[in-house]
Amino acid sequence: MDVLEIKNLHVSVEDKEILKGLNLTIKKGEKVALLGPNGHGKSTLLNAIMGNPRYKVTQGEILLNGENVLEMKVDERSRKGLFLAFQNPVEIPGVISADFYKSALQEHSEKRMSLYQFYKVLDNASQEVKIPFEMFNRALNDGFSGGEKKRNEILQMMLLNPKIAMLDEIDSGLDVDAINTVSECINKQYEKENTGFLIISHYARLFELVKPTRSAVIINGKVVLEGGPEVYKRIDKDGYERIKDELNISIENDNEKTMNQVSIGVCATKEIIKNAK
Amino acid sequence: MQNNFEEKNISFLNEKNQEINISCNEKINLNLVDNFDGELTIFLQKDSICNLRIFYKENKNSLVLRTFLSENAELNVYFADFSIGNSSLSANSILYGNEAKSTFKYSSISKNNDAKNYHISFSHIGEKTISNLEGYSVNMNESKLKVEGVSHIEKNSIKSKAHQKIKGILFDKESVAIANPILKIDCDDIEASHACAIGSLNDNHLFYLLSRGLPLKDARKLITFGYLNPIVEYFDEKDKEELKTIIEREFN
Repeated sequence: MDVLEIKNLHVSVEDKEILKGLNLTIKKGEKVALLGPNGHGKSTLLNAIMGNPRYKVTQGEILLNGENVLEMKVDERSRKGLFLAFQNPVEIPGVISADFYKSALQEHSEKRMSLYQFYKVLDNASQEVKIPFEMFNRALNDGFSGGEKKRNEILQMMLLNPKIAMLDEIDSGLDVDAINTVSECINKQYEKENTGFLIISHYARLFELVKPTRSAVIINGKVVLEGGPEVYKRIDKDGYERIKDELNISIENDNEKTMNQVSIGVCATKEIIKNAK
Repeated sequence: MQNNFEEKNISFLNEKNQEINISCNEKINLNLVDNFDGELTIFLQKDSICNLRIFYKENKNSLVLRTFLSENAELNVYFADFSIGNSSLSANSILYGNEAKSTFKYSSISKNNDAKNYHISFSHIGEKTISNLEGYSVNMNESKLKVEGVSHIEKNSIKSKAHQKIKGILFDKESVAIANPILKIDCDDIEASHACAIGSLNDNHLFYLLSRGLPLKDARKLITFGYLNPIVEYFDEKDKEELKTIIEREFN
């Protein structure tokens, strides 16, 4: 049984601590809905697990089947079975999608894959995510619409067949049909490979379609609540206010503070006068 | 490249200064072959099209290119500088005919203390003229590159368009790339833009490729290959293979 364990994780971005002792476990065959207010550490967690160098792990452990993930390089984490579908997939001019997928797939395979085998696998996956095959002769995500980029992430997930797939707002910017397509692909991957999923979304629609087996709520850089599907349903109905009251926690909102401080023109002048007083 | 184009090779071995006249409606692909050390002047008559391919390979090269474009003439210059040692290129396009169009695209690799200098300029004189400069360079091993792009839209060249985009990757701290995309505008009612980006490989691009399991070396190679590769499609089959081989060799 593949297990990803996160223990007492502390992560900083540009010297600001975002995750403050987070604990979470995801097993193969689980679909975990990851929820939380904006800016409380959901994407930070996923990036830290994948090894984004911008996110500094200052304390804690990440273990995949008992192996220390923090000691692995980013590419090694991928080959060990971790996958991150990005919230904003980058466009890389000149890098032809098909060439990149073939290289990535080769890195995940023990045997050398023939060109015929590769194109067959890619063709099947492209039909599943409903992206025309010809688009893979173009540069990676270059000129792709927001929806195409997201479906492209799902396509890569299907090609690489990870043990644990982390999806960061995979539904943002998708129209109704595309959300249906993406959720069908997630469900097929789950049924076929029993992949473990950690899914961030702000909308219940995706969760209704993929039916998470568990929910976890991150507030102030920690998992403050775990439970079954009823948790995401409650949050969709009542927001985070009730959870805050029930758990007696105050939601830190640094964004708001920052917005008040960053002003231009007349407001900035007022701010200076106010501070001077 | 288009099929109905005449193909012609130009060599500077016997004559340092050459002039070529492209007649009205003529379509031609010109291939400059090593060794380059000379001056080339091209006159493009009305409605003519010229694709000029310049491929600096092994030797030190220096070329001065002057082009004069008549009404509705079109010049496309594709410049691949993968040479060893110092090199230079000075290219000037004078778009005196209305609706003349000039494009200059380059890819360049510099290494081993090479010093490379490019000066690419466009003079818009006719109305509704268009110029485009698009360049990609890679510098490594303490090499130096200087690129100056100048697009001058003169007083009566109304509704003209001039665009410049210069990008460069530096592989080490000792390498230097200097780029000056300059616009000189003496006319209203035109469209112009210039952009320049020089730096190391994009961290977000690298992280993305690494996150899919590519080792760092392969990820760097793929990004750089993708960066230089677009120029390849403009060359004929024989040169295409050679260009690809050089790019592969440099980043293996």
